[in-house]
Amino acid sequence: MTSVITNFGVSDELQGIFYSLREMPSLNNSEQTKFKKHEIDILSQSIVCRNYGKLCLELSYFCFAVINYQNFKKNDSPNTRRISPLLSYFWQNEQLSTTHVKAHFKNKFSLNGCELFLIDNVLRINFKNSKFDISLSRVGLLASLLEFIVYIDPKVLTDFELSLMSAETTKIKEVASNLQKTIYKFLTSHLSSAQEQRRFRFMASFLDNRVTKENKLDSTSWLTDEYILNFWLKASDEGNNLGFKLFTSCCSELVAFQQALSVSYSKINARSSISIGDNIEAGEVSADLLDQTLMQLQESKLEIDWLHNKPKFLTKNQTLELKPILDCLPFSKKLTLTMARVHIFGAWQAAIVQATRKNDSKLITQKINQLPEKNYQLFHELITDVYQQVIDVLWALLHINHQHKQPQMFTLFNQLVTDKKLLKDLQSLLAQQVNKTKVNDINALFNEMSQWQLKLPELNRILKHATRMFSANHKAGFNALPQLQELDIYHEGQDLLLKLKQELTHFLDNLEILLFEQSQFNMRKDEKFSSDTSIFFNKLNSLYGVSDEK
Amino acid sequence: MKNNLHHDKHNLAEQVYIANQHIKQIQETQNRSVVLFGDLFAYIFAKDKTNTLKVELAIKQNLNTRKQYLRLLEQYQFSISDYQAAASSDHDLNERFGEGFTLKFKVTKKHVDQIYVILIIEHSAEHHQTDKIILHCQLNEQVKRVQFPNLIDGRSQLILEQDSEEYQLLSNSNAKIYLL
Repeated sequence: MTSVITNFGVSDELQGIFYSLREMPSLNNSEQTKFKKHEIDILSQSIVCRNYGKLCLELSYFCFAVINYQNFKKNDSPNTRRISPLLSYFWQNEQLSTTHVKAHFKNKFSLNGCELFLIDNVLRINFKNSKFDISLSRVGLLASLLEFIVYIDPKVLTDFELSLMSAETTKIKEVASNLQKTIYKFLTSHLSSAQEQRRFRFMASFLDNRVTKENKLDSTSWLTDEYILNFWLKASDEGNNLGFKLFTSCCSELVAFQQALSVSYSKINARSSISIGDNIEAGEVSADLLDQTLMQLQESKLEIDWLHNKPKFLTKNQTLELKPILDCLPFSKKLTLTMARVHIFGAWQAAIVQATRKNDSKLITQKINQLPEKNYQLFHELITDVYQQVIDVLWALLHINHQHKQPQMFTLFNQLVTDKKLLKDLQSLLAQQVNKTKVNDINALFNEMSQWQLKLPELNRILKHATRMFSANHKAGFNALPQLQELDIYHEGQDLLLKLKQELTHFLDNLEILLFEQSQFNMRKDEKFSSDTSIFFNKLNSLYGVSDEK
Repeated sequence: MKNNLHHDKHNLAEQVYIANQHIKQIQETQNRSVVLFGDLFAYIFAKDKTNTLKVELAIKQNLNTRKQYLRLLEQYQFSISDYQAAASSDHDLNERFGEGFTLKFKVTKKHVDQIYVILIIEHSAEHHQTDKIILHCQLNEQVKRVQFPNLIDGRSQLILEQDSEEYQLLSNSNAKIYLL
């Protein structure tokens, strides 16, 4: 039952649309999907924020261009069968990339006083009294919006071709406004905020009762390990139908709540301090402001799911183990104890929930009494292992960069080499080399490297270590040296792994402090863990326990 | 004024929270229930990788999807073979005729459950000689896509199981065949 309620926000159908958009195969290239990930991210955000007015307008102008331009081109070859220009442009030929768009619209074209031409990476449409620019890089996004609209209103393609043929600007705007209405109508039954709103207000009122106003504004002060635990102990009963029964959910919801608070406060503070008449009317948040603020929030997230694809930087399990920590950024390093609790007690609760689904009271009792085998020390070891894996892969990447003479190697050098003297020596050699050649010739630099290896045995040792780490890595994408043209994704992975390294370093530092403090204050090393176990046991027992009388 | 500002922040925060939760749902979904226009397109041109059954099911179950599918086939067909009037109804066809192409069905003596399907195109297009040839068969709400190897000397052939849906449709006199 709970899953029905928690899934209420976005309807199954709307979820399905976005899933299909993300996975849609490309007709031109079987290795790729039709749309890029960021295009679907932007589209879903505009839809969710109901901020699609400008997009609809752009799409209408662009379809106007496609329909009328195609029409003009067709006159050259009257023999070809008449295929709808939108069909042929967006689906059959999939002309969505900047290069494709440029190639398609390469000739300047005019019709009834309207001009269409390319200038500075935009497609410009000049009317008698106005003009409209469409950035070429947005065509993929517009195509995904069209795909979305065709699904909710299949006759839109024919409608477009009838109404946009030789249309005036007023007509184009009318088409755009009709599109907006179509989407709006669709969303009334597919996007509901009620449940999320209740959840937000529950968390807000809980916060109001616990914290003074000043503390609340100091956005990081109240969100503590203790606060989260107390919230769960209370909300798992009261907020049961709001999806607060799981400790793990409570943690991620509270973090999301705090993220929303802090990003909104900073956004509005920034705006009101500028105060250029950009007033926000009380109770009314513009779709644009919402979209921008959400964008800011999304940008701060680290997405590591793709790291377990090919090239396999990390295993799927490792990315899953890190997920709770990354979802809680930037607060996870402050919430180390909560992260450990999520890992251990969250998993325990999940096992019990699994058992309740089978409705087997014996099994439920057994799961409740099966106390976790892991403790906080073991959690520390686990995260340390993943951290070590990140470091090992970075070494392997250093080897790859070295072999291909990539400047990215030096970034890794600075990040991985702890020998300060070596770094200094290398820096002065680099400076000399740059001085000598006067140009930043990376190839010459790498040619010198073998000489430097002789001068600096430490450098030699470092590079050998990198080679060893590469040879020891047998995962997909690392079992053979990748080709030069494949390196983009390796560099992208490298950047992400370096961020990950930084976050994990802070996280592990704090976790170690926590464990140290626990061992100082308590007689037995595991005392804190034992007391936590009993807190969780009591609560889980009261939530799921099967009474004997039954 | 100050109160108002606080109210705005709270209001924005609430909406950001809600939108963010919705985005999360959208990003994490594995819901494969929807077939989009582009999926149909990819199916028709055999560019879908894993979606084939999902698309066929949607065509079968959803009238709008089926209409879109048939309209696309009408637009992109090279030739069609309509209902075969002369055939006796209780027998599978031995051959069927389309506009400029023929399909022949031959039973192998050794393996009676296997049928050789021979495709002959009289005035073929260039893509028939270079790429796999795509046929769509449709009977009411049932559809199936069949792919032949490219033509050699105007012919191509395929072996189908007698009880396969593909053969059942191809040899059914009431089915309509679209050659792309």
